Amino acid sequence: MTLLSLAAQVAAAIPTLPASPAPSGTGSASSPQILLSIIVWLPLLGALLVLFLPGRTEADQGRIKNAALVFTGIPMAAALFATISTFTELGIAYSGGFKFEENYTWIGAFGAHYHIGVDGISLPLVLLSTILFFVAVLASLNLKVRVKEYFFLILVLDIGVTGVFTAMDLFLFFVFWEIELIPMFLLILIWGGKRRVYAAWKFLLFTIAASAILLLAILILYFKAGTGSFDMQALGQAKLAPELAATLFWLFFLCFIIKLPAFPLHTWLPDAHVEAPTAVSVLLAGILLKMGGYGIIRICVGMFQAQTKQFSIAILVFAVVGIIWGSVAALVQDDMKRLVAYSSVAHMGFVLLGVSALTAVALNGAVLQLFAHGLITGALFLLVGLVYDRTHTRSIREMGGLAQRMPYLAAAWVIAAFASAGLPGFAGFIAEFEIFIGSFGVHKIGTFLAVFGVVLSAAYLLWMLERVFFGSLKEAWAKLKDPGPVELGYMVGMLGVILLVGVAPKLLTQLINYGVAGLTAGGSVPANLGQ
Amino acid sequence: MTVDSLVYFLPELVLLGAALVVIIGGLVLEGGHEDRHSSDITRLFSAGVALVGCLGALGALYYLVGRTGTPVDPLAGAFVVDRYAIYVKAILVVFAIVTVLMSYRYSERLKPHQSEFLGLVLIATVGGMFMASAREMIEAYVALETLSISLYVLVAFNKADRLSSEAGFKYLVVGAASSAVLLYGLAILYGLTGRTDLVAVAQAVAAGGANSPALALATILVVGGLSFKIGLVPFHQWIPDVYQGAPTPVTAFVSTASKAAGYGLLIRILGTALLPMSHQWQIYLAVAAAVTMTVGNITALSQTSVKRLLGYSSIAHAGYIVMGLVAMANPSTANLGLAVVLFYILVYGLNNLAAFGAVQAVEDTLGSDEISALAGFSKRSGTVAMVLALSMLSLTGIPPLVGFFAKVFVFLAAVQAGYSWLVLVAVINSAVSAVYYLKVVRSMYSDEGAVGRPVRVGPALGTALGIGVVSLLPLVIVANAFVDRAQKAAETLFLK
Repeated sequence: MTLLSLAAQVAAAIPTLPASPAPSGTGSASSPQILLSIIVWLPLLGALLVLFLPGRTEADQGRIKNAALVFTGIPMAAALFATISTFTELGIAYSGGFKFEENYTWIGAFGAHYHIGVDGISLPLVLLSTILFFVAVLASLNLKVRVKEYFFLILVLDIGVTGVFTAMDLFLFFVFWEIELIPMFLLILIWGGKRRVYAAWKFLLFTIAASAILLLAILILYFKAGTGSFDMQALGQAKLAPELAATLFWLFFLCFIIKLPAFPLHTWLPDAHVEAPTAVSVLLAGILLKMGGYGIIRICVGMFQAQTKQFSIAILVFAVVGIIWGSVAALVQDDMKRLVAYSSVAHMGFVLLGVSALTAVALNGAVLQLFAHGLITGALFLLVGLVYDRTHTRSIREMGGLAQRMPYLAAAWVIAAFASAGLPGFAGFIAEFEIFIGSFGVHKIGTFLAVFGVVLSAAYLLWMLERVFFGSLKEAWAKLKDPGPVELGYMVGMLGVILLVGVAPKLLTQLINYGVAGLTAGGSVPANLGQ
Repeated sequence: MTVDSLVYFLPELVLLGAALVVIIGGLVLEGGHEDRHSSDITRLFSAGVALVGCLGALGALYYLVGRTGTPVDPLAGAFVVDRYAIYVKAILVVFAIVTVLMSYRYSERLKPHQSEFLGLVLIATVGGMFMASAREMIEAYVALETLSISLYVLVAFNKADRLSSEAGFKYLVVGAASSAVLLYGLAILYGLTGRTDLVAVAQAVAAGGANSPALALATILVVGGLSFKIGLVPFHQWIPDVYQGAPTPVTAFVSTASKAAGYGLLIRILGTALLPMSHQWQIYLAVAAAVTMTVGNITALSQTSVKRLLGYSSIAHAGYIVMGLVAMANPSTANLGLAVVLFYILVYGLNNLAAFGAVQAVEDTLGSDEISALAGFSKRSGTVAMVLALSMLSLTGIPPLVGFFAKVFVFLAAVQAGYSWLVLVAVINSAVSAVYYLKVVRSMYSDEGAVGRPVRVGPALGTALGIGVVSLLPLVIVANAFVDRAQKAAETLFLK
């Protein structure tokens, strides 16, 4: 348990860091902040650089890959700095609300602003996305075809995703939301597997439909609220007729559960995942699905809380059906990637469960689940990719006994699978535990049913592990080798973070508490869990 | 009119001078020699002079911005130089520059008529510029005909090509018919008011109460006649044939500069002479917009040629733009409506220029503009494919490309003017349009198609593509500045 104790030491050490001499606090409003803009826009600089670098020879491609690493690495460092500095100020210089805010008029005629900022809900997600983009670039270093376009699109995708998590203006939110569409479409279409054309178009159709609904909802809200601005906080205060608010709630909700995705709007997800290249799957499951979850928490819960309460049972039904359906579907898959994809549907159901309960603890769990699932599923997709690179198949039936030839990979798989199944000690456990605690008092039967999802997840993951890695080694796999240091390096890094958050959850839960408290207006900061 | 006031005609005079130099210089240089060398020199000379002329005109326009503060009355009010006119003229000249650059390589196959080709483009631009400034019926009509007749010739310039001649003939017939409709409308207006000055007409109409059936008829005829230039139903049938048949640089010019000039005059007439009739034309335009965008988008779905597809797309976009004019009819949203229209015209023009630039590069390589022939084109030229893809996505209105902003601005203005139903129609239309724009993208990025020789993009065409695309992305960031400028320009149009 050296790793565990190490993690505990780190966790113990962080809060005792000396609080920085309050550089922000009250003075933050006057001094211009650019930290978030660096995180959001630096990838654009990288994208332009990649575009103008030559890309014919191998050395040129190496330069492009290095540039991508640098321009995803710096935002990661910046996000880490933002998180740590906020953590050290918790309860001292920071007592909730948005940090690192930037607010400039953008389109004056319609009251659209370039207004970005982060709070306890969005900061963990910004951190998550910068980490996963860095890892995705690391995982794509072996790419040989159309290197230039690939990294260009990845970097453009980065802008959209981090932008969504930081936007505080609905118009800006929509623009960032849409940036993701085309790069993701092309990434699947050009670098995907055999049925990539079908998968890419299915993804595009679902996403465009969701966007149209989102735009419609934003425009209706803008005109009916009559505030003459797209500011989320101002719009959240607007007095709307109950029927109108209910309609808007459902429009937003519909858009976000397509992205999340929830049953029965999830069908684009398995196809997109199976066809997408490994790193793109990581981004798709790790971050793009989180945009849906974040949208629900930020907009449905944050701006339409009365409606969220009113339709709590309907949300619960989406949640429970998603959990059970996703888990059962995962149980019968033969394709490893499809299995992980369906498990995502189930895990995102837990987020919906937390939302339907609408208690502070459950919401805290939902946000943490977004973070944890991003890392865990990201790791699982990377592991699927590492196996596929060696065996050139993803069929569970065709494998067996791989652990004998690839002990390190098998060990990583076991750890990641345990984390995904919600074993204590991992980030996923804390999140799901919080969700169950928070929702049991509200929806007893629903929570009871949802717990079966955890049982099922243990079943499909362990069963898969057994069939792939254990048992007798098949002839065909006698010559397999463990992955190299780079691959093992980022796997250890990701699993380390998952473990760290699992052992010392208050690293994030405290921060998230402040965000959740801001959502449930007037609500008190719930007691810390997992200490 | 004194010699002093000639300064207000400076941009037009510069451009006209350049046109004459191009045509005469071309004749002299060509001088009956048939050798390749002298033809290259002619080409370089004409393009150079044309570009210098355009840049000079832009400079003159910039100079005139400073002089708009004082009341300007050259030609006794028939020719106005306000911010609105300068905005439209600047757009026109920019479009002309890109057209000149695009036609540099194309004009190789037009010898020995290359210099006449460029000369006509410049004369057409001058006609368009006069349309933006005209506040008198006869002047407006002559300006319109200057533009139209130059274009009739340009469209049919490729005499050897049957499609080009056919397109030219169709363009001429429909153009003449719509011209007659416009003239008839103007004649009725003159008959009712006894004036040809648009402001005087407005005063007479307002004084007489705007209820006469003849007045309503005149309004419909004038708006209908000008629909030809902007491609509004029912005067839209020429568009697909002309777009497909005309030389590609001409198509680019017709779909951008000629349209902008059409809007320039239409807005001027609607904003002055017909402002008292705004209720009538608002409803007419709203219905026309809904029908136009629907017809354009639905017909575009089944097209197989990219140029034809862009033709129908231009019909659809005419529908979106006219939504801004609908908003212009309400006093409360008049400035906003006009501002979003001006922004849209600029954005749409740049989009289309980039698209046609890419299409021309494709045509030069493949000898075809069929969507199916585009299969796998991204492997031949990543740059051209990306330019075409970006323009398609921008035309669809997918953020963060600037086409999205143009569209949303128009939608917002229309909702504020109380035309939510029209916006709903437009949103549905937009979603439908994604299908055919993306069809082009899909084909380019598919696996099929042989890898042929890579595309050769000449410096002139490259610059044109660059202008098109580079101006697409940064436009988003300065969209605010543009809308602000456009709103200022709008303030000068409507008479207080």
